[in-house]
Amino acid sequence: MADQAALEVTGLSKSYRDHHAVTGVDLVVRPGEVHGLLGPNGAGKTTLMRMVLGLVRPDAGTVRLLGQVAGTMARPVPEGVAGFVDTPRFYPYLSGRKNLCLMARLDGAAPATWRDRVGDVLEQVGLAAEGDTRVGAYSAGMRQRLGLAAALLRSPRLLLLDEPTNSLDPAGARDLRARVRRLAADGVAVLLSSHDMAEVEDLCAVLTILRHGRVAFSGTVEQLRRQTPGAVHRLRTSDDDRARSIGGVEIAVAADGDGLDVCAHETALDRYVIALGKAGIAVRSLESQDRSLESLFLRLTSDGAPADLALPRDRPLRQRLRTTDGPVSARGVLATMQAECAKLLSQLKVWAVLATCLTGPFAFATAMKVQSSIPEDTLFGRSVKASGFAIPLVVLGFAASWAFPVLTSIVGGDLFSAEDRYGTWPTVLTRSRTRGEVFAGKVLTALTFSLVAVVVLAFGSVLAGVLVIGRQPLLGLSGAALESGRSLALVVAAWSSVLPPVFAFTALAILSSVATRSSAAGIGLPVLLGFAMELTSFLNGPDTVRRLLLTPPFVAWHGLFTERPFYGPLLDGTAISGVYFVTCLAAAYWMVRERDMGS
Amino acid sequence: MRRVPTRMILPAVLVAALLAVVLRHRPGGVTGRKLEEAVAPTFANLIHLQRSILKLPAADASALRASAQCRKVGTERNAGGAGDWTCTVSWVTPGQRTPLQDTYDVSVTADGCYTATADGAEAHIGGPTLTTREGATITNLLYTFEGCFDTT
Repeated sequence: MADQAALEVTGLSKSYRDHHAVTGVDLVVRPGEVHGLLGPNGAGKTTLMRMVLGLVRPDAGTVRLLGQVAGTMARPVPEGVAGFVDTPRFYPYLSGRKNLCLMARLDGAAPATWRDRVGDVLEQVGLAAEGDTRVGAYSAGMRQRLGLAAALLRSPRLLLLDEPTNSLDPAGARDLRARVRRLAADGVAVLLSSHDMAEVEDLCAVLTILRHGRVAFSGTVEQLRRQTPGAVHRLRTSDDDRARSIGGVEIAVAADGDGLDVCAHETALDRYVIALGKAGIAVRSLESQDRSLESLFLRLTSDGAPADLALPRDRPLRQRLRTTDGPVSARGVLATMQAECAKLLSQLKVWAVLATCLTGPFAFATAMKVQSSIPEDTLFGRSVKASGFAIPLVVLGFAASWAFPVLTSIVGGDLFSAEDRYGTWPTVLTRSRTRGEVFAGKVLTALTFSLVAVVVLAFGSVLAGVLVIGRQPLLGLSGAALESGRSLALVVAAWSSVLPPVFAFTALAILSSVATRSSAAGIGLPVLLGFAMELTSFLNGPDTVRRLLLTPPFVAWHGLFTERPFYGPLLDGTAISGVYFVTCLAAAYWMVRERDMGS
Repeated sequence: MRRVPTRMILPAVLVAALLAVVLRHRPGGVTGRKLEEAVAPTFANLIHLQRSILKLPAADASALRASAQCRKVGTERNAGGAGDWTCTVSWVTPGQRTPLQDTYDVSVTADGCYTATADGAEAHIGGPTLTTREGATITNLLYTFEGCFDTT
């Protein structure tokens, strides 16, 4: 099994509209090997690495990671595979340590083990002293080191590093190179993308060079040197333009404009110099150039590179590969949910919202008690001074107009788009969770927050009503007085009845967040839609239209307070809320599942 | 344009089925009859409650034989829908034979909730406030009252 490739890429292709980002790439990385991935900007290195890590869906080809077929985006990155693409991104409002703890949670590590492990990897990358500093205050180099720490947390057997020494100071780059060597010595396969030729020459025994999305070279550095048709000489003549027109050698204007670069074996070079003399062109100087990896790389990837070096043949693009659903386990969903809840609890806005839900009703009840005017135009508004149980019902009426869409959107409308804002989708999706688990975990977190917000607002309202106004009987909607116990039970039932539309609005916010990738739209759109629906429901339009709206279910509880309770609006409201809920979540999941992340 | 995957058809059918249930044909909305059936018993219950607050002899709500006749303002007799209505409420007070009548301006919303306010031309139910035997001023529950009925 020692010879089994850690990474095996076969015929991998990816196109964006008319642009072929990667075409028919084959690549093998073996255990203990540091494999350099080279190419100029736009050559397809990052797209290739994204496909390997399951962030981007290939159009064709296969990826085997540690022997397992991968490359289907809905599946998690296998255990033992780690890495990052582009600059590693983390949640800026959390410390480096807390970010790593989140990653460990997503990897399914037991809390008892991850704390020590997180400390270890922080130590290894030289961030132990800054572990408790917010990532927002980290330099680019520190974030790069944290990215390596997040990868090491997975005890990788295959490590993918995309320009890992970018932003590192010379000492940091030296440390990283030493670490990569040690990992390789321990049998870890490393695929390292870099622009630093000296670094690649120093670290990598094997290279793959990409040009225009295709493999221009694949093999060892020695093979690359042997494959070059001849030494490079810098030639200066009396007439460079005419000298270029004389054939027999490969020739190009020097990159610095000072003369010509001639590439040829010795005999061909002799013939060429004689031909120059016969043509009356004086040779002023002819100097042998260095055959460093950089010069070989430039020769291979320049537009004038010889065609015979474009090794792979064209492969017909197959139909876009279908996304296969990975397993969605309860454990995985729970792990994601725990990570999301940990993030939420670190955000001030969440605590501010919950504190407002708890204390706001007290301010309202106190105002109702001391001022002479009452909210006559709201149901139960005339009873706010007569019974404390009217307070939660008036608050419920107000909340239906605007507060519920706002409360549900604050988290639901931000949970997905925040990953876009912070650029953390690749960070999350290169752990051990499937997209389905990440989606379900986030949805459950948003629903839980909505539930908690409604419960806290209900609790605050009831408490405020009872403590500030009193527990007097409530005048029902059929002119009968309802005793305290019955009033309280009905108030609880009324607040419970708004949960279906609250969850539906949460799903709407999630869809807005996923579709627009913007938190402003994720929060704003459901609120605006809520206003529009509320306005429409007031109009005396067709009853059918009103039944399709999501705001009438917020007031479907009125029938509970009549002498002969009626439940038709509650049933209709629950059904239409269910339709919104299912439709929005299905659409949002489809978008998350099919999306190429980081492209 | 991307083709809708076949697996999306099932959820679409489910959604359509749910919509069909929600939008099933049935008489609904605000009608005069529903409003009358809601206003009259509420009015009777409030008389019963107010008499007990005023410490007057108890009057059972059913004994009041309250009824209401409602018409939407500015429309045909059988017109329905949310908006402004006028309801004439009739009832019999305990110990009297002659029915009494008062007229209310009723504002009805599309969700079937209403607020009835005495139009001020009649004097049977009194003004916005009442004075108890002890001299205290209390809100007249019959002057303005609210309720809800099923529009589904």
